[in-house]
Amino acid sequence: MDVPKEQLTTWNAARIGRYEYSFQALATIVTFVTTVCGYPMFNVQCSMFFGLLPLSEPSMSWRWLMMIFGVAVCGIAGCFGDATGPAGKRPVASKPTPTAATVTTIHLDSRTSDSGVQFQYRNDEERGHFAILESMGGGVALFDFDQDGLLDVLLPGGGRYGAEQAGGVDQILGVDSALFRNVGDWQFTNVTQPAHVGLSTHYSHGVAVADMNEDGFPDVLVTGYGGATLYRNQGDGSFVDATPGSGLTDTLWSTSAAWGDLNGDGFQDLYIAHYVDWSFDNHPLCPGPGDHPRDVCPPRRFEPLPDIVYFGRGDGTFEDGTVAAGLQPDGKGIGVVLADIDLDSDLDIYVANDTVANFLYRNDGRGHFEDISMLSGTALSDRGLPDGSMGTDVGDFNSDGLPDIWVANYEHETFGLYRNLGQGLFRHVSQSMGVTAVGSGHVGWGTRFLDLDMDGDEDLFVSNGHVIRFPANTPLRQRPLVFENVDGRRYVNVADSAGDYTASAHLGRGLATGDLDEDGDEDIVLSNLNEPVELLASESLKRGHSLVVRVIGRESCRTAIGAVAVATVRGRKLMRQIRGGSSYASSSDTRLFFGCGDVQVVEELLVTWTSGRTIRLTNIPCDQVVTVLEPKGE
Amino acid sequence: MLAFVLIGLVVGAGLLAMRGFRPTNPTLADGLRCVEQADSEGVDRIEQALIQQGSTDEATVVRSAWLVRRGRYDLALNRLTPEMIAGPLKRQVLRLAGESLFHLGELERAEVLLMKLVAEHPDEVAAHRLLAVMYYDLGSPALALKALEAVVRLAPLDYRPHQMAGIILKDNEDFVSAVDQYRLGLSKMPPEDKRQELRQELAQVLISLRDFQGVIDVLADAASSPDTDTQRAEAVWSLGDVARASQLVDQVLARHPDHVQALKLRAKLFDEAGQGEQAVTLLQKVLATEPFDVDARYQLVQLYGTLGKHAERAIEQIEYDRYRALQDRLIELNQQANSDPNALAPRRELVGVCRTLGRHKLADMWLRAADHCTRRQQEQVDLPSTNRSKL
Repeated sequence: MDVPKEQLTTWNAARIGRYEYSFQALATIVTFVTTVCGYPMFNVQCSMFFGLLPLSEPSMSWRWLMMIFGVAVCGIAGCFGDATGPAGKRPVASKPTPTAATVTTIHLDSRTSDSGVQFQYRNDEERGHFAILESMGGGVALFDFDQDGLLDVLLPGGGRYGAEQAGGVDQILGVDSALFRNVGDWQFTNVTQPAHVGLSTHYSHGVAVADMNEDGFPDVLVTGYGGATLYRNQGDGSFVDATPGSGLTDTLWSTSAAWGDLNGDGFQDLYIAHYVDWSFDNHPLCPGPGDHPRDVCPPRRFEPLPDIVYFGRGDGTFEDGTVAAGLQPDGKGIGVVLADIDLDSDLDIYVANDTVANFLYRNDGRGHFEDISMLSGTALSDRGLPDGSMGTDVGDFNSDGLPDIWVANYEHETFGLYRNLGQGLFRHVSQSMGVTAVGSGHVGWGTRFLDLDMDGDEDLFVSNGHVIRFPANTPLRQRPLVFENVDGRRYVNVADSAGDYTASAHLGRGLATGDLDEDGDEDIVLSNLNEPVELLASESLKRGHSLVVRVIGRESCRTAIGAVAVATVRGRKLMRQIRGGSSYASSSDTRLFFGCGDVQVVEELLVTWTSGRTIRLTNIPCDQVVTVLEPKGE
Repeated sequence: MLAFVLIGLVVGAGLLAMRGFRPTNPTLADGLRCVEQADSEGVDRIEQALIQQGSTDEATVVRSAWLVRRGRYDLALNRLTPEMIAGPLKRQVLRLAGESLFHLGELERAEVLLMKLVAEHPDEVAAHRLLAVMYYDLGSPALALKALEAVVRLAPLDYRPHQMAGIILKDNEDFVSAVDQYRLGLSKMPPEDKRQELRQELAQVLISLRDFQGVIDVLADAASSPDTDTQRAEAVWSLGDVARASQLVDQVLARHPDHVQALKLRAKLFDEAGQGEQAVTLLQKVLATEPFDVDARYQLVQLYGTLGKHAERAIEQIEYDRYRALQDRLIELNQQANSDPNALAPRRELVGVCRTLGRHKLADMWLRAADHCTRRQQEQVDLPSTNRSKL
């Protein structure tokens, strides 16, 4: 008698429509015939006629006679008659609302096939454990590891299960990461071996990049299950595992991480987001829908793990600053972004938590944080509920000079666009900005604000893909979202017309953005789950001019996370900021990109570092890369 | 809304029960036809004829069917005997007794009889309908859906099981399946008033799915009403037409100044337009009549924050936290109850939580469900042996 709960989700039209009687099957044929002939309303009426038979006439022979008669009449009339029902509307299954603009100039060209980047993140789901560990996927780092002026690509490899250990559980092992050196013109060389950066000691997910020791070469942190690995860039094209002795003693399950000077001492610190307390010792069986005996358990089945902050000493060593920072203990962190959200020249923290409230921490400038999530209105959805949040970023979508917050969430939720009202207050504007108009069928992961058409306003890219293996209501593989910003007033999804990749479905996870081809706009690299990595070149059909700004700290950290640049373009002020972390488990180009549209000269560029120092440049020609150094001394 | 659907299903079950007797005795068949046609004199006449033929059990069935039709379930039940269940009229007697017990609130006994009936006669659509309603009433949506599945199979052109399935699935936040059910219901040509009802319910689910173009499409042929106009307003706003949304919602509020959904939407529009004070006024009005509306309360908390009214915000936040906790508990208990049709503890607790949240009808439903579980646990329910109480 007892019907499993999961049956609720599988009770659908297909099952109801499974007719048992042959006369009903034949009625379906009529339906088909008349539908093909273009008279759907008519066949509804015919079907009704047949369906009434069992109610009004018990004799089977009568049913057959009437049915044959009906088939003949309906079929003929359906095909040749003038059966025009009211609008001839036939219900169709619910689909996400199409909101693609009829015309977009945004275009993303796949450059993967001949690039030399052949790699895919593996989760070893083939072993059939259905562990939540497998659902997380990996990220991407775009950074110039050899300082040759071109962005290179680092990709965490994921993990696998080893032999059974004592105690009857499988070992959890890492799959090697890969580093691809950019040699120009969308060609890459796999340099993992000589760079000594591939060996993964953990089942890996994320990657965070910054020059932690101020030697001019960016260093790397790889997150994962059981701990994080720190790779120090030796400046000779190779890395060394610098975890031992660094003070990074974290052994919890880490997802995203972000670098940034949190306590204002001029050294890079680390925020590491932790997820939940899953292990093979805490691995419940969660039934799948329908005939599937098992699926990945939801995060609600597990307890949260506390995030951690490490304060850097500038020499590659760290101390645990979690208590001093005053972090909350109960997030299920997946995404994290460090940015100066209240524009007071220090780094604030936003954490996208899964199924529990998100965190917005306001920095007092000395590395102590006040949790203003609830007060600010950024903790919950517009309905006051916690979302299943994953990817996140900070940008200024409406060009009002205030950093806004963006969060990619789980299905049946709305992706959150929180407009900064100033004074630590935000308003959830997804509905009025058109974000909700794409429906709620997406499971969003990696995401970034970026100006794809270089018209000056920040568009949004989201990589989507389901977390469970047998989703009942939304596809496993999902199309990305490409939200074109229409003058800061509305977002319109143009994924269908922005290129082949965005028009097709994937198991999306992390993504990073950066100018891989040095043409002045940001391209995108996506790490998918058990699918090849994808390189997308931004090739907008009507691209505006652009100004690229490389901001370097001198009193502040060299990787000037939190530096804010405001460009005045034909009187319009565009704000960009170097963020730590962002997206999901990824690290993007730290240069700032200003779309100038048809303007060729930026009137003014004002850069402010977290040290409070500023620099002002005027009349800067577009279509170039400008390097801006932080002023030093008095 | 759900009450009307349930009533419709139960009435439908009754009528189908009359149709579905198909007795071999032609006089009995005539008698049941008279019942179906509400022909009181015919029923009297045929009852007498059956008695004169010596078919007293058949006469009892006709009379009981008439009493069931007239809503005199207790009297109907008193006429039916366990011996009749053992005889050739078993099918009719089980159905009449099951339906009567259902209406008399003796759900566990009704369930036993109806289950026995569908086990022996899987095409008993009326029994499946009653079971669906009963299971829903008992807080067992999975079982209700299973029963509805049988109803759809046996009465493929009836919109009502789809509507009820839509409601159940919506309550369980399986919005995609709910949409399918509502669309199937609409495809089965319900009467116009029911069509409007289905469209409106479907539109609400589509709003939950944020399928706003779908809302506009579904409501394209729907008559104007405060509910549908508010739904239209929300959809057009979400698709970018603020002016049209404001116009629609203002029209609703001009005629129905207390319409909760319209007030909440207008508050959002005011808020978006930077007219926070007006939004606050509307939300306060909502909460004066619907103090448990956590959405409105959250909206108000946010508004107080943006307006810099920190004291009011703090007070409202406390209230919001309280109601949200109750709401969360309600969802949690619902899930527990749904996953175990015999679980008493969550049903008992649900009664209290629903009462605290002012959802008294729901509390009554859970109270019935809890009583049912208690009785089920206390006694071994068996088939009757002698009289009505055993039946």
